[in-house]
Amino acid sequence: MTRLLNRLEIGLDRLALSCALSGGVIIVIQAVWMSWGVFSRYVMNSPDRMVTEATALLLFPVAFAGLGYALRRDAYPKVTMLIDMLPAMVRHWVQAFNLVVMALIGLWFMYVSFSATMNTLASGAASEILLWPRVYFWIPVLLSMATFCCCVLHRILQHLMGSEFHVNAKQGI
Amino acid sequence: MEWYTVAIGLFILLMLLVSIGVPIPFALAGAALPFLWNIQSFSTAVVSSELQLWGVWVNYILLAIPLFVFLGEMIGRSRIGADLYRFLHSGVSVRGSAAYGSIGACAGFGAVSGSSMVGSLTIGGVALSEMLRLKYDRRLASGILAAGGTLSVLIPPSLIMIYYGIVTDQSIGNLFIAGIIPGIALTTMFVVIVFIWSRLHRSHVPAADDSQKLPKGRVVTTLITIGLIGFIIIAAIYTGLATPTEAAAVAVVITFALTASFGGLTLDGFVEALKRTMLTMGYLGLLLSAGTLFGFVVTYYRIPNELTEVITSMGLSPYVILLVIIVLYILLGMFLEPVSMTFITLPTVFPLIHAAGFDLIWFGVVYTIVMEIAVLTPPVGLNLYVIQGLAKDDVSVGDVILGSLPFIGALVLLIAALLVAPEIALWLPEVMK
Repeated sequence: MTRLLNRLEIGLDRLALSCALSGGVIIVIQAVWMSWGVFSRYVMNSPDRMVTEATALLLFPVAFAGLGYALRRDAYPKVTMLIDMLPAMVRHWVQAFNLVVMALIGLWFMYVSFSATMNTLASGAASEILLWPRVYFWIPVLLSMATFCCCVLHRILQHLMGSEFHVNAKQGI
Repeated sequence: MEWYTVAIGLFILLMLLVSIGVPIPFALAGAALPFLWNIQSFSTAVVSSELQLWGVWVNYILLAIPLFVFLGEMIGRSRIGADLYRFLHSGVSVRGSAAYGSIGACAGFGAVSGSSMVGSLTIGGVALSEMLRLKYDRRLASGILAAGGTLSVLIPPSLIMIYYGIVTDQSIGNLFIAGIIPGIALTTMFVVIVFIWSRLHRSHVPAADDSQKLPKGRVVTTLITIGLIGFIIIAAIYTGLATPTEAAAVAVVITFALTASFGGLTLDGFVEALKRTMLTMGYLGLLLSAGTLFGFVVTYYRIPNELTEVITSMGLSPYVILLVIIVLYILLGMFLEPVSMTFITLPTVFPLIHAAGFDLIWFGVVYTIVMEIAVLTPPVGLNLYVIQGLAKDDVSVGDVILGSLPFIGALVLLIAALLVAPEIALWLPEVMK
């Protein structure tokens, strides 16, 4: 079981990193596109009519693409002064409770993005200016939320089974 | 439910979740959701959350955040910061040149990066070992670098000012411009502190500096990069040629071109910068989304308005209200980091500041300084641990804390100066109108 969890961890690490890097690629596209927008506005005197709306819409998937990766790298800030003082056994269960809270919140947001994806399947354009379907922006968010939920559920299993955390994070994957 | 019942309930639930170690974005959502479900049915809450997520994140102004984060991360992974530091102190025959050089490098880095921690990490990564090698006092060396990061936040661009501008609906361009003079004043104060320290404890600051000068070619490319990026950001916003978001995007592209060509940015460094940016976004994505739900509950029950009415009905002087808020933020800053504090507390606090008659651009500068005090105060002072982590064997957290104290004093003094003379922050935005 522990071996299975560790193999799963490698897979989830790759999935979380892929989501994050996809978001990173979008940031690069946004930067280049907006620079082009400024250039075309002032130098070519031909403003790009799409750039503002399109780059703003592209921020939506970027906002959630790093969720799983941030969890894998323990990047969420927390105050641990109190639980650090607790006996090891109590701390173990408090940490398990915290992970369950994180999973419930993650599942809530995943359900919200699932519902939005279903609702927007037939609801048309993302904005009045761009005719890109809104569902195109919700699908990557749903995938990011699902990745996050898988990561946190895996971590709960690891925690309860007492196997070592972040095997791959320590290896810098 | 009465507004105060909800306010107390939200506060207790939030504090409970935070204190048992639930990460802050989850604690924020965990505190808000029970009240949201109380206001709306489950299915309505789902739809309302969909609308709020879409509404908050499809936002052109918010786009400045990943771009400025990416900009700072990219520069942090090039050798521009290190070269700037070496240029500012190597071969300079002034007692304490490495310390003055650190302050100058932090200020210069501040003109291209908006993150205090990235500023401390980038300059500290090269300057701390150099100062320790030159036999600077470890408290002075670590204190300068922990505090030096605060210059990155006050001198535009500034991530905290962007967050503040988004929450309070103030012009980010005006906030950036308002931070310039206080940023220069703070840099000057830091220089004075090092000067006084070197006079009081001559053994703490070595006279000789045997560092090798930076080759002229590297000096030129470093200055061009820093100067050009800083100029693009400030000039674009000053002149109105581009929005802060566009300025950030153009700065990203030019930074990539310059650092990849001359600044030592490798492909690995570039990818790592992207990963770090997404790490920050992963945290911010959830924090802001949870903050929106929290904000919905708070606004639904009119908590900021009710609280403002209660406090203003007490007839307190605006300065007493301001002082109480600053002290509360400093205390809160000992336990929470600035971004979380901003999204949790600012929506409730800023109407009060506005009702007390303070200018919100001016308060933005004061708020930014208070947030920087937060990153220098234990037990959760991010910059303290960043600097200590750079030289674990030579410097203790206690050394960094003690070394930072005079610089925290300078930050407090700057707040006092802003209270006495608000023009320090407001003059430049007024002139630029």
